[in-house]
Amino acid sequence: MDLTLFVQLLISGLLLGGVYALSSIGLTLIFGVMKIVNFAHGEFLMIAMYLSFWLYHLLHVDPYLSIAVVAPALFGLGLLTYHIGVRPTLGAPHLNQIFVMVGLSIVIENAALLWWSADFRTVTLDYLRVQIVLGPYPGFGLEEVIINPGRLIAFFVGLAISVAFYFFLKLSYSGKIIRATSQDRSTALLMGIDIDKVYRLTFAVGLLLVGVAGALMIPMFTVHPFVGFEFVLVMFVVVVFGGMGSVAGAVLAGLFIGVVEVFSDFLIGPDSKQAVYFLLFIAVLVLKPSGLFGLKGEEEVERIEAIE
Amino acid sequence: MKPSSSRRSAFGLAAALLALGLAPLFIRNDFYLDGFILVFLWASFSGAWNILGGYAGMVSLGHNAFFAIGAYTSTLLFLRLGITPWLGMFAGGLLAAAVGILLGIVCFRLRSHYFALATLAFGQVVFILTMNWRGLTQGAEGIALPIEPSLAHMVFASKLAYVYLGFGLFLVVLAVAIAIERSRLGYFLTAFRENEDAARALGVKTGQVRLIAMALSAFLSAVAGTYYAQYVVYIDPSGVSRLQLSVQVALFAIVGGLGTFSGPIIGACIFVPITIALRSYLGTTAPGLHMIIYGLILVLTMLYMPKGIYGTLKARMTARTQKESRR
Amino acid sequence: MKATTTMIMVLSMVMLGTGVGQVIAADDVWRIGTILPITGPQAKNGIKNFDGIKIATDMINDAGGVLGKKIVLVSADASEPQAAASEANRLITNEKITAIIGTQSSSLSMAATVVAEQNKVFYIENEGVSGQITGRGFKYIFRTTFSGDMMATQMVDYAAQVLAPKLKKTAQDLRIAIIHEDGGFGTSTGTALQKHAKSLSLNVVVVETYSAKTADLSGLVLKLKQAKPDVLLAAQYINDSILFHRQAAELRFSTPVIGTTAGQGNPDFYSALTKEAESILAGGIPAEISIERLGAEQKAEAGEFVKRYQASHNGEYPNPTSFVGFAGAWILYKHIMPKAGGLDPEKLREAALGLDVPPGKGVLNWGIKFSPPGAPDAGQNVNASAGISQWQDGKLKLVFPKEIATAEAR
Repeated sequence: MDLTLFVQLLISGLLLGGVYALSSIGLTLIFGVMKIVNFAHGEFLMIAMYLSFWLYHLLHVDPYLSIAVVAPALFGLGLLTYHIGVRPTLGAPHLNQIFVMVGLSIVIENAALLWWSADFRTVTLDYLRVQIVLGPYPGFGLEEVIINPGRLIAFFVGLAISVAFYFFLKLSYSGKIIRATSQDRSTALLMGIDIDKVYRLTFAVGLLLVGVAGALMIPMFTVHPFVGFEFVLVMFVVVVFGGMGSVAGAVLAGLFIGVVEVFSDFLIGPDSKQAVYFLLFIAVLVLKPSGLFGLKGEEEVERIEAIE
Repeated sequence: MKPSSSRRSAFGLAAALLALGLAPLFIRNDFYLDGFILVFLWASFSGAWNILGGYAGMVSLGHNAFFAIGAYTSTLLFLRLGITPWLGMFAGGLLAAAVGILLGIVCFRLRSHYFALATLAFGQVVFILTMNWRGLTQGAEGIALPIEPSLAHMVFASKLAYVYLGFGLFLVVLAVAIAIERSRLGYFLTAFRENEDAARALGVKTGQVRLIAMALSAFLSAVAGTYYAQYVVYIDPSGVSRLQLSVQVALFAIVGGLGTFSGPIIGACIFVPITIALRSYLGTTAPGLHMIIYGLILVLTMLYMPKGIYGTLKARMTARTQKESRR
Repeated sequence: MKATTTMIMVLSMVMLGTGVGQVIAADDVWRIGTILPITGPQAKNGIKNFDGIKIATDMINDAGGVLGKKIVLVSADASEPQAAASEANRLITNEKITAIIGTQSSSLSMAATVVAEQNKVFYIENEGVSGQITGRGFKYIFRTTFSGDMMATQMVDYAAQVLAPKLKKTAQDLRIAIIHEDGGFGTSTGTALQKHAKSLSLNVVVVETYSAKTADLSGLVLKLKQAKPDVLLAAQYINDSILFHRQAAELRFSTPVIGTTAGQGNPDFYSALTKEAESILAGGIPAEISIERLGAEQKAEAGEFVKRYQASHNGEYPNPTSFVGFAGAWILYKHIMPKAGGLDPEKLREAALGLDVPPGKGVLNWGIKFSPPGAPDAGQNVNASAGISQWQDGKLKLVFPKEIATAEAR
């Protein structure tokens, strides 16, 4: 494999990974704070993509601008979902939490099928058809390397959001409360923190983040009622790799998975690339369940009591 | 438990089974017989899942893997080596059990959400295998079984034969479930489920005990897979190894009553007719509507009847008996 | 307690009966069943197929029906094989159907046709291409469209006979790459492509499969680039073909592609790629039927079909899937049923086997001639041509085989 090919694969992988990372940040946040795996997260990504699509198709709103609408919409949806489906099961056995979200994802998928039909929807932006080329740098033995503009935008926006969110968590009051609840719920409660509010905010923000991801992704990926399922599997892998609850971890893990996928695609074959990261996924779960960044022992979660 | 109530339970169970078992004899219509077959198929698979998910409390989303192992093993042994499915199903079951034990050894240290995710990934890996190991499975094209009726090949012209084959399978799964419930294995599993640390402290070999549950669960799931293969006489990844199969059987057991031996059959008896009716009525006029209703039932059950139907009824009965005994 | 359990179980079995009970067959209409994926992952294609069948039914009914009686469709949805088998069972047992049109997806077809064969019910497979469907020696199953094998043969032949000379190479010198999606359609076509290429001693340098649902094909494109093929034969669906071509263009992979109408030949393909789709080839049934070569009657029928489709689909040009769906139903209504005098499966069978309609005189640009029992592909319509079309100035023109071509290949 020559250098150009290697670099090309690497860059393609990183850009793909950027998309994965962006869509997984919300998921890791929700798990980190609330200790529940949002099995329906992929469906919310789909809703965001559809929303962005319809805004473009009917009102000619550029997808990147549609974030201004999609993000708050998903935030609201998050609040609604929290009250109806998440809050009631917080004290229940984990099984119930899992299956409420599984049931919800079945409902959402098929509601999308019913209302928006099974057709694949795409958004083609002409200004994204420009070619971005790196190089050539003959001095380094590097020929041209090609970069996808849509993914580049998603990459940088995703990075920006992650950094912004990281500082939000670190520095702002709400952020500190969220982190406190995530680290030690009982003490947080004793300190007078309104856990219900924290959970509500977390869940809604988690969905807001995936809403942004959806709007950024529709220029590059087609949307159809079952696209949620395909993405959610990768999102789980990313979240576990990065450590549940760690935003920085999700970003790095996303990039890592993107690179692994593209290299597996090339070296082994496109049919088996998914198997590679699923196997890695199981390995990480078993050997280092806390992922790259998570706190040790986090996978041994105690039961969260119900919100009174 | 008072002896008379347990005798009453046993009598009631026998009566229910007798009703279920004799009913098909009076039905001439192939459509209804198909319904019975599906009920027994899913009740068996769900019952098998329940052994691990309900009794041992380890919720798996990867059981589609065992179902697929059973279906492909018995079919390939039959088509390539001429081994009758009557024997092939045991081979499939043993292979599934072995794979299950391996999975358990690797993943049992994980708790609930993480275990669910790990089994999900495992199930997906097996799905990918069935799609891509084309030399073995013919990939998405699937494998057709011969359709000539033959007892030796476990293919029957009459649907009634399949109904009783399925009923037999279900009785076996039921017997295993009841045996577990009544045995020490059952007590150990319950102890683990209720409080893992206490169970360990008391000397329960939680690892071993759960591996046994896993082996039984995987074995019976694989046999159910063979039954599917022999009935539909065609297997392919979408039919036997897709994720939705795992979700479905978990769903039946949960809505019916997790960790109870009646749960799976109740769940199957509710969902199979609903699915068929909704799909027949609404399938083409409102695509997806029957699945929406499916999903809503799951959500509502989880929110309002988390113990499932049987579990909730049992709890109410227990409360009532307790109230009575206090007078 | 247990009584309650019993009650629940028996009650729900009774539920099976409520509402889906027996149907008293009406005598003044023809009742024909359809089994298609209206929900699930194949829903998009299943619905398009059904649209085609519906239009065929409307057209026949508006012209007075078949033998004076109108046709009523009894439709069933199935998203996975066991559901297809169950629905076939229901149609046959409860709805008293004796002829079924289905199934879009080969795996659904494999399951449903078993039930039809066991019950001696006439079955038209109008779109599933897998060789297995007609490879089991079944007597009641007839496929009206071309098989994966037939389409693959055309694609390979085109590469060897037309493309090779254009590239100033002999067929044997041609470096051929094959990619296909990993579902039933892709796999059966991919296998057929390899088989036929091998039979012509052609040099296949790389074969890759991928999941049609993937979000990224850049690794695949780079891998193909490395193999430096002269031509790429691709069995893809519309979504992945668009993704592939976009990423190929981006990564500067410019090998000529011969695709299929499921992907490259779909009108959506051109809408998505516009001028980049020019000169791309697709095997199968062209979106724009080369109606110049058709008999007058077939021309009128095709025109009528397009008109009705556009009326109910906001002016969109018909999807190839709908065309093929339409064709299957049309063959049954116009050619088989009249000859059989009704819907008796034995008579339908006999009528079907007796048909010998030359290409261009059947429906679209097909003829009708089914392989007899005993043949390895018994029930296959061997006169259903799967020509190669090419996008030329925004239109799909049939360029191969020469006998039915309407334009020169570029």
